[in-house]
Amino acid sequence: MAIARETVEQVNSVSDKYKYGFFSDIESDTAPIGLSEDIVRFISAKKEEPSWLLEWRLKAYRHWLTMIEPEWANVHYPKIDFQDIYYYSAPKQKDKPKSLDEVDPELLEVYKKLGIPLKEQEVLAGVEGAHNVAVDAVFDSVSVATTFRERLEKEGVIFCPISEAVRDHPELVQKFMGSVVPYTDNYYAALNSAVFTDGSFCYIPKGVRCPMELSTYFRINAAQTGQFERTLIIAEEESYVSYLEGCTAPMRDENQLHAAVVELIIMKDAEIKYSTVQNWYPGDENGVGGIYNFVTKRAACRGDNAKVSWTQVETGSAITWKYPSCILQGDNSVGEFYSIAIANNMQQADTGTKMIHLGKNTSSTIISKGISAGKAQNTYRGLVRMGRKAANARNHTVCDSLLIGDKCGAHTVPYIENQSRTATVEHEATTSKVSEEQLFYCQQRGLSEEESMALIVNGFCKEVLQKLPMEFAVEAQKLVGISLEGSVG
Amino acid sequence: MKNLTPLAQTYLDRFDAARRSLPGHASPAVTALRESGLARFKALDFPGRKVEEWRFTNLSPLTKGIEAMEAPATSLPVAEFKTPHVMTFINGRFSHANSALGELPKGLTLTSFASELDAGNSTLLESDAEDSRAVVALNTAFMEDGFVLTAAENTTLDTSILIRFVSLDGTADNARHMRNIIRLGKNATVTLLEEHAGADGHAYFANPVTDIALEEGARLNHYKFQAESNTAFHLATTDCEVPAGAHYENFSLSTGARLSRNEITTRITGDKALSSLNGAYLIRGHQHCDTTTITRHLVPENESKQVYKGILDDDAQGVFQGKIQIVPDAQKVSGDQLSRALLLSDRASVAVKPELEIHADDVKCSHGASSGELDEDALFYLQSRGIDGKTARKMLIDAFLADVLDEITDEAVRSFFAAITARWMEEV
Repeated sequence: MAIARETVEQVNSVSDKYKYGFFSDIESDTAPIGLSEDIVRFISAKKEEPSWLLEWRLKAYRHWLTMIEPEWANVHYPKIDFQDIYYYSAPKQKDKPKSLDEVDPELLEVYKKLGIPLKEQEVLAGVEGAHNVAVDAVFDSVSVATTFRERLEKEGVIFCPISEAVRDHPELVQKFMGSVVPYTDNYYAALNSAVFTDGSFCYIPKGVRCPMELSTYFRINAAQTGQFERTLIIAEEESYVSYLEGCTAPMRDENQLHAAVVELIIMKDAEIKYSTVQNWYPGDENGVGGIYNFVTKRAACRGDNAKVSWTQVETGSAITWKYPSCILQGDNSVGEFYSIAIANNMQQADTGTKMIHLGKNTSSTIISKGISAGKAQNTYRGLVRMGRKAANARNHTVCDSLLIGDKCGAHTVPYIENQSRTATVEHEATTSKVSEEQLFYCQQRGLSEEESMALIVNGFCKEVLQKLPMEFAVEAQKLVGISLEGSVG
Repeated sequence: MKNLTPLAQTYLDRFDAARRSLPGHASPAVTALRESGLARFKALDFPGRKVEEWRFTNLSPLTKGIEAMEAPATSLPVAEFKTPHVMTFINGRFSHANSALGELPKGLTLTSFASELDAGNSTLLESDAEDSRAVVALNTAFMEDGFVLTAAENTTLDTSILIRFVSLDGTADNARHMRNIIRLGKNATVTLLEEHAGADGHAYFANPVTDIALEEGARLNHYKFQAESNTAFHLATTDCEVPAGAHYENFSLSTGARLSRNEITTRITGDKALSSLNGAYLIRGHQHCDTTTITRHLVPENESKQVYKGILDDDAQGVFQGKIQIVPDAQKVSGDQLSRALLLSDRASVAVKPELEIHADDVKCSHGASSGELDEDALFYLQSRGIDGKTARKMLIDAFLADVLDEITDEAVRSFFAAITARWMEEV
């Protein structure tokens, strides 16, 4: 009950709907507007990349030119002009900062405002027993700071911007990048492969349990800029890591494109827990502005007993197009997907997952909670495929949708393909509205209509919220309340 | 422009010659209708797997062109289902000699569609001009016969009507483009069973299109037994409009055809209306069976229910696609759907896509889908009680099917279907 009360308080205390909508005037270094082979070369040169990577980017770019923008998702938006986007924007800096003390104080100020402490001693100060969180902060196109690196290095964990990994660990990057999401995968993955600018790289060596949560915080700041980051996480045998991702952007009248690729590789007996709180600027109530969030996320369980868990809270973005997927290759491997997608006002979300069962005794769980309010459209789209060799595989899927208001839409489009006799696939989905009785009960106990709604919605999402790491769960719970502001009455 | 599939090209080439012998060729209205159908079909062609609605059903074995099989012509089998009202179509044409319409109640008429067309009656097909489905467009161009059932206000038929579509050889032009029309007046009640059959080894393409309109308070029990030849193709399209207080009940039992699809669209346009779509498919060998339903709730306060079950053996492939759509402001609607498949072989597979598209908030909708083998625990339980493995399996399969057969209101049809499923199971 304490958590519920906190949510209610939070809803009351927040007066402006999107508190991360500020813009920071930070001088930046940008590439010329538009996209061409020269821009791809420009980005690669800026990053001082080896020739193999430039070649790979160019191959991706040439392939992208042959592809057609996908239109199957249940989202509607004007055609994106790919020549009207800056593909590279980095805060200006004289020399690479050697420590956090040398990072531009204005940048640190931005992250402070966002509630992301980059000074290590401030991290969760005063919370006894809580885990520390190592943060990689990505600002527009580049990573500006990564905390706790020394501590992690002691354990053998590599956690750094991907551009640094290309320089310092080229063998790992070359071996794994594009092995889960090849550049031919889809339109936005190809675009990302051509122009990706930064992102995080994690490598957890064999037998290591990462001593703290790793986190990347993405911030789009510059106008007319697209953010194309690439995250690559490799968990070697018997290792474990929990990774968090957060994102925000300023309020603007224009739509900005965010097309990321995330690849996870999980070896035998290893586990990755990947949590996202996506809070890009959603646009105003009339649908002006906001981020187009077109993301490809995929995990490959390469070894036996590997486990991957995706948890996402999707509250932001004008349009979300995202299907974190699991390829369960190793026998007994486990894939999980827990999602809350909230769409309010004019937001459109088309999200879900793919569970591809290839190995024996693989199992997967999908819990998806979609909430639509205002004039929003929310779609769950998912695939569960049991391959011929997936003996005794199991899947259990629950998709629940909640509708608030009579102008919104909730859609469920699951694809289930079973080629294995001994596999069991179960799917259930329901759609309903918040019951009048529940609302009445809460109001009769003295809560306002809006407080009651936040309480009920939090209850609806509880199964997923519980899966988030503690640091994120609190934030996510508050977000659920805020995102639904103005949806009742 | 991309090339048409070979079969589509054959139809285009054949049209001019064929239409002179098709019913209604003297009527300009019917001719115009056929031409518009052909034009639409030419633009559409048979759907490939890139068309979302057909992603799980590959029509290329059909569209490559059907080869006539060297199988001897057979004689008409005796109808197993007993009723005084039987209408028979042989190789796509009404056979007066093999029909016994019996004494139908006053207000109820049952005629052949070809005779309606020959009389220049094209008003029955007004809704057809805009249809964007390729198989329907093809049917419009080449429709040759079918049944027309009309019932006046308050007419009640106490027994049931059996309509038999039987293919006795695999030659002719290899296709049966049947067009059926059902019109029930206010509070009329009719029970109808369609049988689609052909002897194994005959190759042909059955493309029946059935257009149903009910008036307020009418009730139609519409049953279908699809037992086409194991080398035939069967693509059926059924549309039904369900207004206020009307009740449409459909049950399809499919055991035949090499490749079949049963597509049903119901448009619910009134309050207190009920659409109840159910079915079972039992397939083996290399059979492919596709069930596709689209349920559209267009106004508030009505209900739809669906239960589909499949049993798949050998290399069989099952498909279920079920879409429930609720348009804005269609409040207080309830829509439920359940699809389950039982895989008896390691090579059988099933693809399911239950879809909800909901634009109103005060509704209750759900769908459930499951697939897998028989429950090991249940088998063990029965065996531990002294029942041998084979009997135990049979009991569990019986129970699996009993659920869905219970949805059939008409007792005679229910026991007929139960007998067919029991016979199918003997060969498992």
